[in-house]
Amino acid sequence: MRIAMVLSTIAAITNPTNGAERTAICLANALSRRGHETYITNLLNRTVDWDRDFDVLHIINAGGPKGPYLGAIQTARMLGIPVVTSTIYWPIDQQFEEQQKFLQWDSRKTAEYEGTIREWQKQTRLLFFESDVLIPNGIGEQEKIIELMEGDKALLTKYKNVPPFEVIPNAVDWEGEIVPALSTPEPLPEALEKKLADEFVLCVGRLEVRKNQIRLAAAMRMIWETDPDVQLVLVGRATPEYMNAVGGSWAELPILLHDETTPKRVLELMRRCTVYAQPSLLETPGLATMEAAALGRPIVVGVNGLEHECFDKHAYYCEPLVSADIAASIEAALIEARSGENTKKGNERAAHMHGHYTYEQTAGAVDSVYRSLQRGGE
Amino acid sequence: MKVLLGISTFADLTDPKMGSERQAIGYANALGELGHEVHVVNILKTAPDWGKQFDIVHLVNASGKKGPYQQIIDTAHLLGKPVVLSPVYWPLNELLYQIAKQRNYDPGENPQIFHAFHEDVAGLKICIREADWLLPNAELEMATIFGLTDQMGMMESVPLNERYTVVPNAVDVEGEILPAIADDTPLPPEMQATLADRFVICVARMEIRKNQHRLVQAMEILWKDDPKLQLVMMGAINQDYVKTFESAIKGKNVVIAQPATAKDVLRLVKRSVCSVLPSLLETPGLVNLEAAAMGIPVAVSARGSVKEYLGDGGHYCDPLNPESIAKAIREAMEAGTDAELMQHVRERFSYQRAAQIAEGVYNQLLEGSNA
Repeated sequence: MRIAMVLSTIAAITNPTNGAERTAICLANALSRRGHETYITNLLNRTVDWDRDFDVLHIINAGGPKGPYLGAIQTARMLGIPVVTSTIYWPIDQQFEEQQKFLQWDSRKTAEYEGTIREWQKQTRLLFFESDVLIPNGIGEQEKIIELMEGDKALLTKYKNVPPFEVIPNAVDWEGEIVPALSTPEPLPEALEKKLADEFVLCVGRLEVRKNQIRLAAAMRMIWETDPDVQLVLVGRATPEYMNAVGGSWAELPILLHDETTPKRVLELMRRCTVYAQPSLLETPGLATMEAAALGRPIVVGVNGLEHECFDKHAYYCEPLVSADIAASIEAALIEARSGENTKKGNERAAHMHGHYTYEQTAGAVDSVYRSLQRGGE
Repeated sequence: MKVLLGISTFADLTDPKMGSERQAIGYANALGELGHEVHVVNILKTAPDWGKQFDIVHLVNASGKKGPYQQIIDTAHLLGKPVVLSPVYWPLNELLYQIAKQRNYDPGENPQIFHAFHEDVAGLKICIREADWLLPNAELEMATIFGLTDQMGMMESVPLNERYTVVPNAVDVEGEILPAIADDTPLPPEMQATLADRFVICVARMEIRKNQHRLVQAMEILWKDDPKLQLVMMGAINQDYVKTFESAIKGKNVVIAQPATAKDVLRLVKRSVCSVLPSLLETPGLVNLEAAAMGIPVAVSARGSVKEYLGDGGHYCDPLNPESIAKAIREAMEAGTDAELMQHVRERFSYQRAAQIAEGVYNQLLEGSNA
């Protein structure tokens, strides 16, 4: 089958570091291993080469503007090509409130952002209604999408129905990343090695309100009262607005900031970390956390997104708005890491991830969706 | 005629402040006055409703990404609709060099920002190849497009020199210029309080391309003989850029003003003794045309197509040389209002005239496609 896989993203897709973009590449590779011909296009920069006679248009709903997706769907319709959309959607109300608070937005900025969000919701809704099949990566996400789509009665009347759903979870790249990370780890640069403590809590992600690093640092302060040698390592690009909110509050603390880096180095830091913490306001469920779990590390995650659906009993959960709760979960995870049970629980966690979240499984499920569309959506 | 006017931009189209967006809205209104039904769509944010049965698709290249333009061209051609493109193109080599210099990039590096520029140019090149007709805003712009396509080894089914018409940028004489001249309403008191009797104004986003740091150096030269001459800089601020000359303007006769509506900008320009825009690149800069149409002398960079618009009426400078910028400002102030230039700009660069030229192209293409 020939698949036009498209994204709208301002991020690079040739050597991606963002979740949606990495997922697209890995899924495309896995589909190729099943014998499909997959062409990935970033619609912000190029249009699809429609002369290739595609069988399916597969939209990966990344963070970019939605106009290009809607345009591609129109052409696909004219050419009789079915449209599948990996939805990657979650409402961001709580994140919005937090942004106002942390970044001290004035009313003008708030109104501007509200307008952007309304527009984003409107276009996202339209994108979903225009698709033949929607692929959320969890039941929780599907519920949120239904809420979104049913929120516009006029569109619901126009389109009559919400398109069918097929829940297909995200995956980690076992053969390409996890196995090599365990068998042939990439040595860390000497300078970085010197700065790393023996024990450290790692968090990977853009330094921003959603990832909630300010509360994570506040949680670590509580831990440092009794456990001062555990370092906090934050890997990711710092957004200037968020760092302004941090101000000088992290000075003199055992916090190591590392700019965004290659997946290989991230995986090595994950393999080496004592605990991996991602107490985000929202994750669906977060590629980095999935990788840390696949490496068997104890993971601390929030409760607001798809984390529970993905990690089940193999994670330490926390309410991300409460630093004390984050601290309690990190402490529990530290106990696991330092106990004799470490290997057993870690192995169980890795086995859970391997049992449910490989790209082979994902590609198999996506393949079934494509084939059912070819048979007329039975 | 039903016209789809497509633009890809991150900016807001409802109250546009940027050149391409204002031009697009200006064309749309003037085409509307000519009896056409024009649908302006930001194709970065949504898709056009093709059910409206457009006769022609007119794309205006703005600062947004180029993929959506290509998509619209594909769809239009599938539906048999002719596509015209206002390319709004100028080579960015010098600008990129200046950015690299300011940010201390190694020339061998290819940071994301450069990659994005190159990606956009490559995307625009595809649009130029695929469009049925090009509407550059100056002969000089078309010459640079020839250069671009030659350099890329582009093969054409119809050569570029057989499918273009110059449609100049325009000012809204009836809707904006004349009302601004007639408007006697005082400026807001907080603005009035900061203004000197005599000021030169630079209306532009504060960024490397607009070159305000060299303008400040030029003002240092002028202040030696004329310390009361004020510099007013109005526009959105790129913080990183402004930091580079923040200390140079501290305590100086300089006012930095927030971006304002087109109406308020014109009221302020009207009060100035000279409008200055020493950009590394302008094509040709809407504010230059507006100032000239209001009879305000204009000091501008000799780069880009501005000479094609202002001819001998502009006061030109080398934007890399503060002495040259200072000289152009001085000459502009000494020359004062150039009535001939004012009339020339109002007559030649009105939206009505631009719309008539565009309409001629639409008709020609439709006749061709119906033949």
